[in-house]
Amino acid sequence: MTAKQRNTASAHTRRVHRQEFLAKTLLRLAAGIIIAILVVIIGYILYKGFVSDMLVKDKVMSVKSETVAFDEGQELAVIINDGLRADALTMEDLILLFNGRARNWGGITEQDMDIVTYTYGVGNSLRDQFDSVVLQDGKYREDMRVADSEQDMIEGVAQTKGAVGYISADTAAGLDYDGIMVVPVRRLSIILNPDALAAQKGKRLTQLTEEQVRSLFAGEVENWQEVGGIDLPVTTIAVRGDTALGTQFREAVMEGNPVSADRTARDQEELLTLLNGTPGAVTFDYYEQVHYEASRLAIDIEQREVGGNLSLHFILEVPKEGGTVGGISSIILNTVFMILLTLAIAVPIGVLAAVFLTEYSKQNLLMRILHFGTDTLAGIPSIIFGLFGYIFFSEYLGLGFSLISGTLTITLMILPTIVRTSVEAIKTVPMTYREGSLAVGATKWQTIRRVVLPAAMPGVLTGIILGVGRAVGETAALVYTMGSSYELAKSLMSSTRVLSVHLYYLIKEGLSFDRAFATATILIIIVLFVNFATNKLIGRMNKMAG
Amino acid sequence: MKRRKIFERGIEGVLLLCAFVSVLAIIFITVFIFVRGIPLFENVSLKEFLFSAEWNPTSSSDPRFGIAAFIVGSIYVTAGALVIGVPFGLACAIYLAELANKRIAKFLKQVIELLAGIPSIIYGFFGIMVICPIVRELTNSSGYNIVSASIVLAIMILPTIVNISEVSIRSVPHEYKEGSLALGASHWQTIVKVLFPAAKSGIIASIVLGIGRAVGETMAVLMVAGNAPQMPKALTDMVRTLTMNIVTDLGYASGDHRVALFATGIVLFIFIMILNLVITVITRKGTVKT
Amino acid sequence: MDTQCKLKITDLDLFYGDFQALQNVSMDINANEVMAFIGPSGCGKSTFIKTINRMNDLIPDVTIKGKVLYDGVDIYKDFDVIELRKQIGMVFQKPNPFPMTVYDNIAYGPRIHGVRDKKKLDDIVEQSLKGAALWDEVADRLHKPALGLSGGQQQRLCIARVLAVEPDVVLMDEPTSALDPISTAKIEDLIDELKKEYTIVIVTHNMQQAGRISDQTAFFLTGEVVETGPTEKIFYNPEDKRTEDYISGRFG
Repeated sequence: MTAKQRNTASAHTRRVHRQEFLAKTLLRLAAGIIIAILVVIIGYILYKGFVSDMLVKDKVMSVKSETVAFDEGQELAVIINDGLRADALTMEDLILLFNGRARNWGGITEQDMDIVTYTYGVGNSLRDQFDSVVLQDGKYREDMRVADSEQDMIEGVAQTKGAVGYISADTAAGLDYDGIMVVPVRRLSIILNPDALAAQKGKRLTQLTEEQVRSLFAGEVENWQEVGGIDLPVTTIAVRGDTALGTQFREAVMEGNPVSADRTARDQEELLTLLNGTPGAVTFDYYEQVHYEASRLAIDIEQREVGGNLSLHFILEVPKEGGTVGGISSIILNTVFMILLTLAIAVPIGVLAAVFLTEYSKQNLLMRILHFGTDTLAGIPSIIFGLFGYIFFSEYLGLGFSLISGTLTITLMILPTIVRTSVEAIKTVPMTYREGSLAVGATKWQTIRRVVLPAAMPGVLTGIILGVGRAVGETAALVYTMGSSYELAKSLMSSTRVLSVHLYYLIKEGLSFDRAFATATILIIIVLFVNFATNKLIGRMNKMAG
Repeated sequence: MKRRKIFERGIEGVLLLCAFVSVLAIIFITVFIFVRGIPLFENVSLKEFLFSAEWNPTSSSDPRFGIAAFIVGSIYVTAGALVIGVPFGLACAIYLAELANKRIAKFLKQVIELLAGIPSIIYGFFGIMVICPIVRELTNSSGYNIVSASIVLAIMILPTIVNISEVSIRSVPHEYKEGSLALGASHWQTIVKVLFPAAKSGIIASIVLGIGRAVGETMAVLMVAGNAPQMPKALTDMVRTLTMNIVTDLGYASGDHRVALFATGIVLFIFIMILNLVITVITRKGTVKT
Repeated sequence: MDTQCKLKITDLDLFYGDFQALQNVSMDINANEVMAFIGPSGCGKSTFIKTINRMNDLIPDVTIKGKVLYDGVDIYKDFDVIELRKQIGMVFQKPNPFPMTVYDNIAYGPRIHGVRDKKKLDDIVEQSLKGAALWDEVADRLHKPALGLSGGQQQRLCIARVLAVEPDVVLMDEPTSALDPISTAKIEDLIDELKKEYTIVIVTHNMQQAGRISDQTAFFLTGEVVETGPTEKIFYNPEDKRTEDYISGRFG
């Protein structure tokens, strides 16, 4: 408004203008907030689905080194078959692997692969080195394979799926062999004197972040209270800086800065003695040294683990152990089965129903009842469908918790969607099409089949895609009709789990949020695709209608 | 010729049958849910079922089947969703109908459509991971309560309210708007004093549909409302809705407990039917008026 | 009589996008006179009258060049549009009462301009309805829906509605084309009365109507003003041949 204009406006008019400006700004804000909400929801799920960024707690710190170093003797490097997905192995993993307590890589890399361990013959120097850290109670697993030489070891690991072995660091340095990966090892733990871990007035120190560890050994923390513990002075103990342990800690954790230690130990034995004798003491040591005492002495280190989450292999791998290991391939296939089956029933019935409602429509009670039926069915909440499916399909018809039971329930749910969109699509087919066909002597049905339906196809397709979108996201109606087995459905009567239900169980169990996000991401991608596809189709319909 | 006629007649019969499936479905749903749920009232009075808040179905000595707490839970959570969702929804509808230029309108409508397509389990998941922690911080409670459920439901009913209200506002005859502006009313005055009242029946219909959606929602509220089977006294109390009651217990309930769940389904079903009736009445009244 | 120029339009061009709907329109409209726009349909009369109260602002993609001066002030540059429409009212071709009571329809204008006092509103409603020659017919049904009135009554209601905001100028876009002859006659009488207090601009495709009620007439043809002048002159002694052709019914 220019100054001149403002002068012509009365005080009241100026107030009206101000109110309008305020109101319109609020409206724009509301619209903006809604857009922001969508972006946040989808963005959050997609981000968490593709990037795994979690705080995990582990007894072994995240710092890794390419080699397993010793004060005396050769440094070792751990090698694995490159079919395995691991960017590091902890000493705890290695102990589990070689001592025979684990059979399947699932617990470590979430892959469904058998563990095959390689070692050298007794008396081999590499083996002696390795045994000194990994062999814990004098007994290796029985099915270990023995390699004669490093070359033998390399070839064996390269050719065997799920194989793990070790070679000298020197050999590893120049290694360029197909099928093998040198995997870094995480070995450092932080151990505390039990007094520091005790409870006082309901407070207990249960974890430290890696930042706090750095502070402790930089001498910046005087009392355990400062890091969430009880009132007890901190005493840092460190092994001599020229040992392999001291060097690794200084370089990897302290980033080259000196370790500030109140007491220094000459070697690892003295380290533990000092620790046990000094209340409030904290030190660092290799995990294997405290392996048996780990639960008592080693404290959980909270670490941030960032990595990829949803990936092709997640989609292609089969789930095991309740879906906490492996991928979701069978669940995806189950979902596809459900969709195909649902469409096979719902589309013919729905489209033919739509044909009746439009082409044979009369202004009578029957039509009103039919429309009422479709409209009412559309408004029934999914839990009622689930309840009905449970009562009728599962129990009364005796179909149990099965693919067919759930499918029939979902069919009823998406029927109205398909009918309504098809009705709209058929209605927009111009009368001239029909007249032209009838004029050349075609019957009503022939006209419908050959002229009207093909012309209505984009609209009908839109309804089908919308129905699919709805079916894929449906959970409440399926939980008590389709069952919960995550294996590939073998027959119509199999208990089956689909994506949405799988997500529900993952959330309920709360064990693997990574997987939950990955599953949710797949669902979101399907939703986005449905949206995209229907838009394209509607665009095409509008173009055809001119 | 005669054969063709019989064929055409046959086709018509098949088509009629297909169209009748939805009616059949409604009949079956009504019959089966009622048949399975009514037996509860042989042992429990209707009054106790609906008005008692004592829900103790697994007690061996004195099982109680009062769902009043869940009815109230559903009401609170729905009311909360309306309080948050209706203003936003109407604001957005007005924006779309009267303010936005074509490109922004198209984009915003896409956004609304996407919001409508997101499965409820994902809303629940987002609720647990993002909304509940925020509510926890702000209200100094567990975060799983009426507030969180209302927020999540509000987002879920937005598309319903926006779409139908927008259509209603758009279909107000253009002459009213012209007449108002020609009298020297501002755009906003015209919206509030002419367009909005004229679109009243459609807007109310959208709200009623939103109520239906909120009351019928199961998975999203299941994740964020806390699921405590007791009468809520404050907004920060954990609450259980009628839908949550069915989904939570159906897996392991037996005997009267199971029948009580079916009866809960009856209550829900009747309520939704009443809502549908209300909408039909409103929309018919609305069209007759213009 | 001292004729004062109420509206002075100079070299007005109007474009819908690339299409030019009005070309080089200029005219003077005097106070307390009835100015009629005549011409075949689709030649810009309605478009032009809407430029006077800036109702074309509602249409996207409209460009206006030239000047419209109201009491000497440029309405596009120097005048607040809400004030403008308060002072320049409009009656539309199809009666468009709001879906409210008769009372609320009339009171709508004053209310949005800040009048709150009920007594004052009652007065305004009565005066406006009397001014539109409708009071006697609706005095006993003020609080009943306006949509229940007949077509002619509704249009007079719309006129009363405009009068209620006490305008200076009343624009009428074919106000009687949707009405029966009796209602039309009533409204033509009304216009004759109204011009004593207001300036009236009326678009009509009914030449006889223009001849009956207007003081000045402007003849429009394909977006241009062919000729303006006193109605007598336009009808009986036009300067331009096209005007003569139109008047004698050779086209349009």
